[in-house]
Amino acid sequence: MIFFLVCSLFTASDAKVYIDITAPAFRKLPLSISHTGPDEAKEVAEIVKNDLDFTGIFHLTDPDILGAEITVKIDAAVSEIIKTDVLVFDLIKNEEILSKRYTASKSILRALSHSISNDIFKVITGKDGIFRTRLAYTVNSSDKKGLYIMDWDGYNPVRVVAKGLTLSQSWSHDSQYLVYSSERDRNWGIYSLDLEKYKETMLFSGKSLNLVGGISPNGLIAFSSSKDGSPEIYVMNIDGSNHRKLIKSFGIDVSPVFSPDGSQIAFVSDRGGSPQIYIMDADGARLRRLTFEGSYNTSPMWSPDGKWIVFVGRKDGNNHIFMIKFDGSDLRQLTEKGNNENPTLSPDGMFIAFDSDRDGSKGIYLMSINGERQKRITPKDIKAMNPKWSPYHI
Amino acid sequence: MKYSRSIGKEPSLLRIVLVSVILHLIFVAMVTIPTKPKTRDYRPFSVKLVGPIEKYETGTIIQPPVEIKSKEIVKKVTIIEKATTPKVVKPIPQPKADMEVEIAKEAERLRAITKLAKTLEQEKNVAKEIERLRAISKLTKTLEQEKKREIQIRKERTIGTPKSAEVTGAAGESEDIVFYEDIIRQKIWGYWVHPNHNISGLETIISVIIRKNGEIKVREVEKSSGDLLFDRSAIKAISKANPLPPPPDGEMEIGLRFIP
Repeated sequence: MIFFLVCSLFTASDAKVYIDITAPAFRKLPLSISHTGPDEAKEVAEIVKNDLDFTGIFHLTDPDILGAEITVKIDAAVSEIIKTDVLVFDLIKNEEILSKRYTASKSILRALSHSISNDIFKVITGKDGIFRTRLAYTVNSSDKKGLYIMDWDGYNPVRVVAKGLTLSQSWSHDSQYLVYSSERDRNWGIYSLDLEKYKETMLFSGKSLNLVGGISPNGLIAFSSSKDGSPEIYVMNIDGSNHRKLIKSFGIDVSPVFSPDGSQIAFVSDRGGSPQIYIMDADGARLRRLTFEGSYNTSPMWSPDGKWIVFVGRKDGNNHIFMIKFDGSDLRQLTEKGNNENPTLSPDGMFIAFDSDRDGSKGIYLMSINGERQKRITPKDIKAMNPKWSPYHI
Repeated sequence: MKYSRSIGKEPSLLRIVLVSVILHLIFVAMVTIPTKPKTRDYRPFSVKLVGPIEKYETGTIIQPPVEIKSKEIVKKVTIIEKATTPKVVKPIPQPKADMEVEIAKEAERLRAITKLAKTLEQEKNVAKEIERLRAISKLTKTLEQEKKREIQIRKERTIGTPKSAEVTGAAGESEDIVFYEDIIRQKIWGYWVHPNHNISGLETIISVIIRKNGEIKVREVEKSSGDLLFDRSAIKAISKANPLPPPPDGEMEIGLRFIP
């Protein structure tokens, strides 16, 4: 299992020896979080702990016991506003890596805490944290129907659209717009909601079923429409102008999503007899089939690096979340229990949100990209589904 | 449709692989089995021992004494074999019958004679072999010298003018260094832990100086992986492995390349 690659190289110029060291052991980074001040300090510390713990990178240790490599000290003072001083010390490098004061109104204590998590994550890993990102999702419980937005950890749910039945929402890349399909007066229209001005605009409408897929980095909306018979793939501009058909077939083509660079589209088609995932160039050229395993594969989503496609596949009568490499290799199953659908990836590609009925009622769950740490984040009495992860900045 | 077709093809490939594996196994068995009987070939040796004593004094033991076939001798043969073989285990067993004593004596005599003959032959052979070995050793020595010269020439080309001390002990020193590099590799690897599984394709090279007393000093990050956590894990492994045992040739500078 463990092996060395023994290979010393002598370079001709200075004859300097290079020693290869391979295959590190896996161990979480021990980190301790301590807090001083009123109850709010403890609250902040708990939120930061939960955030960092869920990444799977850190092992949170007791601050009173030695062993941490990184220590976080949170000191809060509360009056009208909450002032929080955060000090992060790296015991291996023996240096202070973060010292920052955060000030905010008490009402947004959670957002302040997530900002602290983001900064700690950044100084340790060099990567942006996703702790301030949010999830857009739909609720189907009788009196609470509508389109909602909540924090990535399930807190602060807010209903943004209550009219009609909404479906298949998608974030624009600048997080300014939420584009979704909604049934109004027996017509399925495509709408966009400006989250800054809180203004809804209708982009496309007709007697047919029109469902939003994904939005490209340069603001092209891909959607499926059955206005000419069976559902086919279309694109249009973010303002609803210039809609055009991309690809024709006799079967059903739905769920088009752009690759992160906008050059390709993955979608679902039953042209081969069963619903399978296909990929084509953004102009409709070079069509190829991605999935061959099983007879039902839907809901494709690209990983942020464009190397993987996460999707829903049916296995033994249940729907599960799978991922497969962009070239069709390395298929992996990520869920085991119940029906699991509508996967969406965090902008750093580390987590997947999805809905599942494994605990009876439909709810939204999170897990890491390798299927570990699956947990429900919406309450059991609310039928929540179809999560879509926002971009980093919101 | 495509899916089912692909399933139909797979078993045929498997069959081919299985058949080829079986054929290989049979072939290997055919090659290895005939070699075994050779080792059981100890019969002629037992006959040598019983050969008439006076006739074959001069060492022509190899001739099989098949002509004498009296019952006694046949008996002797069997008895000698029985008597002599346990002798190795039990050093001085007192034989009860006179016959056995005589037989034992005869056997001892025989052995002495065969030993003498063998030693004579062996001496001759040994002399020959020594000559051969000498020739071989001369050859190898010259080859080694040539190799050493080549190495020296290479060193001169790469480093410039070598010091005389380095040249004389070149072979021993390089072995020491290889052994020392192994120690470095093992020790730093023992401390290398990373909190993330997803690290394929990363590479960090850190240049370090190892002082005379084994203390490691990080000189520079020669190549960063671009991943802060990965670089950190490498530096942590080095700092935890500090100090190393003293290097064999005093202070040295090496590059440590961390690759998952």
